[in-house]
Amino acid sequence: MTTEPETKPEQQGASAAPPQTAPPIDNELPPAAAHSTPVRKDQAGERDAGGKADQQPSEDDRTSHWSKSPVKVTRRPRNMQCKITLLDGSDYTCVVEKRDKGQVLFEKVCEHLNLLEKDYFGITYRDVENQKNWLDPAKDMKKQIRGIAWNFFFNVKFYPPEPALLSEDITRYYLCLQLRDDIMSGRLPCSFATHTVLGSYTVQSELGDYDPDEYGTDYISEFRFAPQQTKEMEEKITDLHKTYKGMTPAEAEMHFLENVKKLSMYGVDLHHAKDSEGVEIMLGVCSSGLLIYRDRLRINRFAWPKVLKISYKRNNFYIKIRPGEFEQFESTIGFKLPNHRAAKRLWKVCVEHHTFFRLVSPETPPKKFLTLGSKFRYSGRTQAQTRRASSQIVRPAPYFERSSSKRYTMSRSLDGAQRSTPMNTANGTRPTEMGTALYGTAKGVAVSDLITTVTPERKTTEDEGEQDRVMLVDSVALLEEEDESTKVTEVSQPSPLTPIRQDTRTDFTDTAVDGDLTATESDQDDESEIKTQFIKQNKEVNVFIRHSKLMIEEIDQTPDELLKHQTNISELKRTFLEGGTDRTGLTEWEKRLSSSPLRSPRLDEAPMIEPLVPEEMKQESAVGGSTTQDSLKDRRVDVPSESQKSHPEDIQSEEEKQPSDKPLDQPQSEPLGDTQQMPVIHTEMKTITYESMQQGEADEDTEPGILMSAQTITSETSSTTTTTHITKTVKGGISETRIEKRIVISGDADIDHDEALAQAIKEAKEQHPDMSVTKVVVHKETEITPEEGEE
Amino acid sequence: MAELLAGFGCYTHAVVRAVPRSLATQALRSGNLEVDPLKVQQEQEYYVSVLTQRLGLEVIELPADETQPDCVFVEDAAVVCENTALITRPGAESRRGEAEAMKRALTELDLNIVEMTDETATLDGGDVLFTGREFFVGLSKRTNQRGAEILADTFKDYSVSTVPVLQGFHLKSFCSMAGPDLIAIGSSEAAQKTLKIMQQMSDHKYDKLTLPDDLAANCIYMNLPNKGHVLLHCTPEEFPESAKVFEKLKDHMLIPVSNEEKGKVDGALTCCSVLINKKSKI
Repeated sequence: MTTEPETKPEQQGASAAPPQTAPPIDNELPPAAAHSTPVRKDQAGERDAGGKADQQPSEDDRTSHWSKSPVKVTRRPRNMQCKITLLDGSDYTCVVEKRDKGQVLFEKVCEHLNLLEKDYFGITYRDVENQKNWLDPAKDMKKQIRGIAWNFFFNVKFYPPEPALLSEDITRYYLCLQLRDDIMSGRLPCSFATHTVLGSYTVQSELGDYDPDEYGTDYISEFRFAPQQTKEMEEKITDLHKTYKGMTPAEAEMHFLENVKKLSMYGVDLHHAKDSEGVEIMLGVCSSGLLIYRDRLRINRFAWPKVLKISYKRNNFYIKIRPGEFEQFESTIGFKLPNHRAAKRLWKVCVEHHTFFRLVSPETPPKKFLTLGSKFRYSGRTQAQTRRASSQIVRPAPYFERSSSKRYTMSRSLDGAQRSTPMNTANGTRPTEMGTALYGTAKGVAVSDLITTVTPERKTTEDEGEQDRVMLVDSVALLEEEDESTKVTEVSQPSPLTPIRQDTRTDFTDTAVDGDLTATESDQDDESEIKTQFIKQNKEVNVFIRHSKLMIEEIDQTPDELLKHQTNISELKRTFLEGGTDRTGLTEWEKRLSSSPLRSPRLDEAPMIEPLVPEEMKQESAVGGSTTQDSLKDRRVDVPSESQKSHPEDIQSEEEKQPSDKPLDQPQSEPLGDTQQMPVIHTEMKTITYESMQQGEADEDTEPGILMSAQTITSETSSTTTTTHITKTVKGGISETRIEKRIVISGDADIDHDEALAQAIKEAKEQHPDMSVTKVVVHKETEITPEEGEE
Repeated sequence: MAELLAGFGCYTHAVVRAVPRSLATQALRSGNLEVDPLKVQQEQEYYVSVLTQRLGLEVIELPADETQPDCVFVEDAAVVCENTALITRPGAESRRGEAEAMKRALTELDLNIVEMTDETATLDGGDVLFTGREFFVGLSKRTNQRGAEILADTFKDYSVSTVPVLQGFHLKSFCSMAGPDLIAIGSSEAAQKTLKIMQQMSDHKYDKLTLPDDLAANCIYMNLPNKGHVLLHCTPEEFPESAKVFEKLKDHMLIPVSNEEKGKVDGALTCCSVLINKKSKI
């Protein structure tokens, strides 16, 4: 029933043509027409057409799929022809089954491109609003591609901060192509000088050495380097090109990347938004965090470790950030996106970037049948994983053709760059009004206020404000539906009132349980409760880094004090070991921090160059100085007592626990749909400080001692790094030796941190029997995904 | 091989300007201090001699303009980075004329000149901290958002972050670069706060050198052939405590330069020159 397999794949499939006979000419496949062939065969043929060995992970999926659900075999399969525009501007056509997951297409393209380090890449499509969306590999394509042609683009999704660490030249080559498009489209603005330098490497990579005979003066004009290319620029590029004799294409690309990676907008995915005052801003998602721009200016930056939670509701996008040094409370900052879809898009991009660049491994995918919450998460490999994987690549460097031979095609395709109307043009500096309003707010103190503090956490304790706000949020939550337009009317429905009450009550319950200090912590999460309350929630803790810190100190003291001291510490230790962790220390910790910066210059009386520690690292570093201690005095006692109150099994905070208790109380079933879009990522930092009583008196640190000696010793094992810092000071005739040990344990949840800590304390005591442990600071950074994993 | 963003602190040229007699009486000042014209003169002469003789820079000295009492503080009139010079629109109206002479000088040096023509924009070079990796622009009495935007448009390769100048005159009245990735910072609360903001805004990790005196945190770092790290900083007479801090820097060639008189009219060390690196043309 078949003749020409290469041109009629569906029929060829029907005949179950042996794989070897099917030539790998995907892009010559005609559009899949209606056919009556059994899917499996069809697919086999198609896969063959896709080329070579069938080792794609997706294949397993599919075959098992088939064998397990024979029902579907009888169903008429719908094949779709996809056109994927590749990074060099050429189109690749292939056929997938309509209900294939995005992964199938992605794998096909990567195979076509001979790309192994594929985790940095992804497939995009333009939705009905012509907005760029990432094709979710884990989701059915047909559910994502609605009302539009199956046309896709192959793009870089995660721009590696260090392109030199990529394993293969071919990967770098594709990255270069993407960046050239970024530059051409204006997404990646650069100066004249940069255009010339980058352009010169491009030319070297594509043409090889400058050859005065072959190339006249105009050879360069057929390349496109910049949105506004000038003759002068071309001349400068030629001048540079002449100096690169002998440079291989791969070297040239490396130079290109080494330069381009330094550009401020490298790898920044921009999204239009407005702040609370309606001022147009841009949110930029990148490997290190979230950047906020107003016009070209960076007005704020939230490094991933600073972000506690990312969420969105309707067309609002929220980030909850860790309190800064001068703030006591976490704050949630809200941005208005043009619409619901844009908010969701941004949220997804954030979740993915955070996972890719910050986590060791992604969260395990939720179980499909039980989870009602958002199924979305980044399912690919993280950067850490992909680096590990690509270090195992053994194949000889694959030959690939750079565009040099297709130079003309190339320039044509670049000309055609308008096809990808840059969605977010960084240099689209609109001549807006002066608008100093933003700055006006910024002038205050908290940087986070720059944008808008939607929920100052302390407010949550006030009944009135609380209710109002919750109500508002809740109605918004109701609105969160796939189809906004149909739902708008629901705002006015009174039904949300019931859940609100419950929520508010919940907050107070929390407060009661956790005491004052934690109140703020749990209260502030009312929002997340609302978000998650409808979710049948499962959880997972993914501990990926953790620092334990011991501070050992020897001070002349009476036996009494000593005793008290030690009792205290062991008590603390016990509390800690039994009680597990809680997250209450945070606010306290921040308070402490606030007094440190002023003191430091006075104290290191021999002022040294200090690392200017980024915010995210502040917590541990602040501990580093014995100087911080005196500010602890009045709070010291509270901290351990809190931890006693906390429930040992609560590795998650109350915040996450709550919704799992509550959700079924909710009368509405409707909102279930909403919750699918609810936020997943919770990043938590927990810092618990245990300190002995005796510190109080010993701490008139106002008059600094004289530093006699200081030494730092570092040792490392596979999962821990131990830094021992010993300082000897003379203060008021008393000599004091302070040993500070910092132990950094990084790894997955399977490491028993508590035991490690106990061991560390024990060791410290053994090593220094004449000294006592005065302070234990546990600093823990955790990733929590509310919807998954069981408690 | 062409490399971008390389060689922080490498300079070949400096533009300075002679002190007008009018400075002593008419220059703007935040305090109400009397200035000894002779001393200012001496300070400036020494400053220039350090640049030329000690450091071997090619110095272009613009003549003073008596109608521009603040003209010696050339830094405010232009921001130069690599081959591009942004001629600013200083915040103080009385100083706008100073840009003209600067523009001419920089044009002669064959830099790409960008002028700030927008009448709503103001920017003093003293509010611009270039770290070698990015710009911080202090929003102060003299510099506004629009000015910062134009700067960002001019130097597209770099991120430009705005930071509030909570107290003091310019951003660089309490901070400056003391080395590659090393920020010198005053210890006042406002200075520290600004530094915190800078650190939050940045993708890069800097070290800090904390000086007891805010004003002493304004120093000039250079990286010169055959001389290595060079640092022009305050004298022990002016700021004894801060001078001690500088003296502890081991890897730097340290040159104390007095700024006492100029300091009375809010001039700091960086204010008195525009430093330029004229690479052999690319």
